[in-house]
Amino acid sequence: MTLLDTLAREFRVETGTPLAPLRERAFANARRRGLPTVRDEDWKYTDVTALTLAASAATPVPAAGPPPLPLAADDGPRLVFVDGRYNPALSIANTDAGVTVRPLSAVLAEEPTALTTLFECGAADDAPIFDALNTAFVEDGAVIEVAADVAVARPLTVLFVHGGRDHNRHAAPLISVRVGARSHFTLVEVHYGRDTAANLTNALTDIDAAAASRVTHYRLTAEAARATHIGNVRLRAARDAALTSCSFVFGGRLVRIAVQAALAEPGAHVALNGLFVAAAGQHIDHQTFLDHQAAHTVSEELYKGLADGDGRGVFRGKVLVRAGAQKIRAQQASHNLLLSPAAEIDTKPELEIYADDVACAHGATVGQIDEAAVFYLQSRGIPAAEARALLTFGFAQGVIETVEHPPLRAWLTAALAGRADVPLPTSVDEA
Amino acid sequence: MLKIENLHVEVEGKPILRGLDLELPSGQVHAIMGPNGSGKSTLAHVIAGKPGYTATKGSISFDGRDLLALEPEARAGEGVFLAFQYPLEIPGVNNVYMLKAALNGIRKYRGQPEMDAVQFLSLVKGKAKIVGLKESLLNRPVNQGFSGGEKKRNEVFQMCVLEPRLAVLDETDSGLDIDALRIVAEGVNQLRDPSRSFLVVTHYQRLLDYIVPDVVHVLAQGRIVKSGPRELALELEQRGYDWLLPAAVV
Repeated sequence: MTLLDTLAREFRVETGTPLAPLRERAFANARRRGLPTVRDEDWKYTDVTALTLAASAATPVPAAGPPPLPLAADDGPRLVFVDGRYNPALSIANTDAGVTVRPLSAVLAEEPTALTTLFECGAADDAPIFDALNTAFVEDGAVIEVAADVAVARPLTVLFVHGGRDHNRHAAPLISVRVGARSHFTLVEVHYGRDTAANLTNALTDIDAAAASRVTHYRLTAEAARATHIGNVRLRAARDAALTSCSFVFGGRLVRIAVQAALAEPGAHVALNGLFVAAAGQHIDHQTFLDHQAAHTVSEELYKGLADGDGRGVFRGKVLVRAGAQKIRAQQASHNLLLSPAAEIDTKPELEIYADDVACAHGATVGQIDEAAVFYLQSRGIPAAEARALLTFGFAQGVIETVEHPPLRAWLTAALAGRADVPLPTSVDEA
Repeated sequence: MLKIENLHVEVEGKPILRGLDLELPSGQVHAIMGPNGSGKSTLAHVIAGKPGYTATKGSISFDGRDLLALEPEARAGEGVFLAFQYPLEIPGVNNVYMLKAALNGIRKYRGQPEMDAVQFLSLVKGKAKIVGLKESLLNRPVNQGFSGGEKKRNEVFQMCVLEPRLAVLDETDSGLDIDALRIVAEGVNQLRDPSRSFLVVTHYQRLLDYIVPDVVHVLAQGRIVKSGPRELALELEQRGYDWLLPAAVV
């Protein structure tokens, strides 16, 4: 049974609720259009036509899952979801002043109209299919509001743990973040799968950064080796807002992250960083779209990819400079390292420029470990295998050092070193 | 200490060293000079174990051990160090981190315990001072953004930290101004010791004003064609190499 057929069986709406027509329209759109194929430019390297929920149970269980979570030392505020559902017992609700956090399930029950605008996006005829499916199926997630003029000191973590009970579950979480003018806020979004989980996640994160705000979004995908993860991130930066969104992907059989950023008003600054490691049997696809809608906007992008075994990586970075968006600066770099002869990474920068006074630069590389550098390190007494690991680590370091969240940075370093000795937070371990 | 006998080396199928003999006793400094393309760098690399440099005949023994049978890291463990002519840049790996991995790799090879962080840090800071390496360069990625002189100084700094028993310097003087040259030479001279030997590969005798060799060898067409005292270097500077080359070259 195809994924859409399976989902059609799952599809339920409570008729009479204000969001029901939007969900119905979103799902009808998705069914009418069907899943994208590799003929679709956005899906050229990632085939989702064969995705199912049912068959995944038959896939053999791999030996290793992702390393434990990056939050051990972090007792800051967090929302925890187990198999897609908000878990108040595992969550820590001590949010800082000026921050309002509600589980989306609560908003759906109490104040559904607050979500109308978001649902209308997913129900639009031209909405990307997985955005539409998210709108059709979303049950939980987080609704985060930050008032104007607050510098929120502690990052907020939103953690999705899969495989707690139901290992083949479909979940469509939604995180909505509205940061008020001149406020500072950091969100850490983690999707973590246990060893045997073969879940399908179709997550959507929508972040709106108001004028002169500073918003940082770290998104970690550390799904189990059989899991499928579709992650969509929509960003909007208003006048003089500085918005950074980083995607780290370390686990999952098939992972596709699409980040779409609108630099909507002059002075907006968006930085997109990413690091992925496609191990044997993994397929990891990043699609980024930077939309310079206004003059005097700046975008910076640094993505690094590693592929080992027969791992497969994809990066497509589109930059659109709209007519009239003069004096913009856009810088994109995609650097990739193949660690085995069977590994493959496809990288594709795309610049579409309709203004004439702009500074755009892009660079893309796919290479292998420099054997001369291996010899250099060996000649200093470092064994060959360790020298390669050091060079691999050094390659990724450029992205890891941008992370200003020590537990996450430590986790990334450990995950890259292939070590699993970062302790689990006990409260989540008990889930 | 180092004994090379009838060494033949090919690089990409092309013979470069053709029957080289060399003996370097403990505590001595030997200079290798010679025209371009004579095989000086090949000799330096084959001692360190660079892949692709194939010894087809002959032997290199180091304190009685067959060096050619060892991986490059094992040679370092035995006490061999090569200061590169063109030191590599290692993005994302800082100098101190790399040196710590190197020092501990060598200690592990020798069955010694790892050095603790405090001890290690005071060691590297002391050595950096000796070779005049700016402390700010210690925590920068290895050689990245270093000037030519800083890279060479970094090589000598690494050598001072790792304290090899045989140091091979491959044209360490190239690209150095006179002040840098003096500092590099001072670093080398500080390490001079009855139990340590140096093989100094150089194009110019200038370096030998500062690192005074016990013996100068002339390498030409893949073998040592003449050996002599320190004065030989001065003579080479005046007369060039032509008078030493065999009349007919095969």
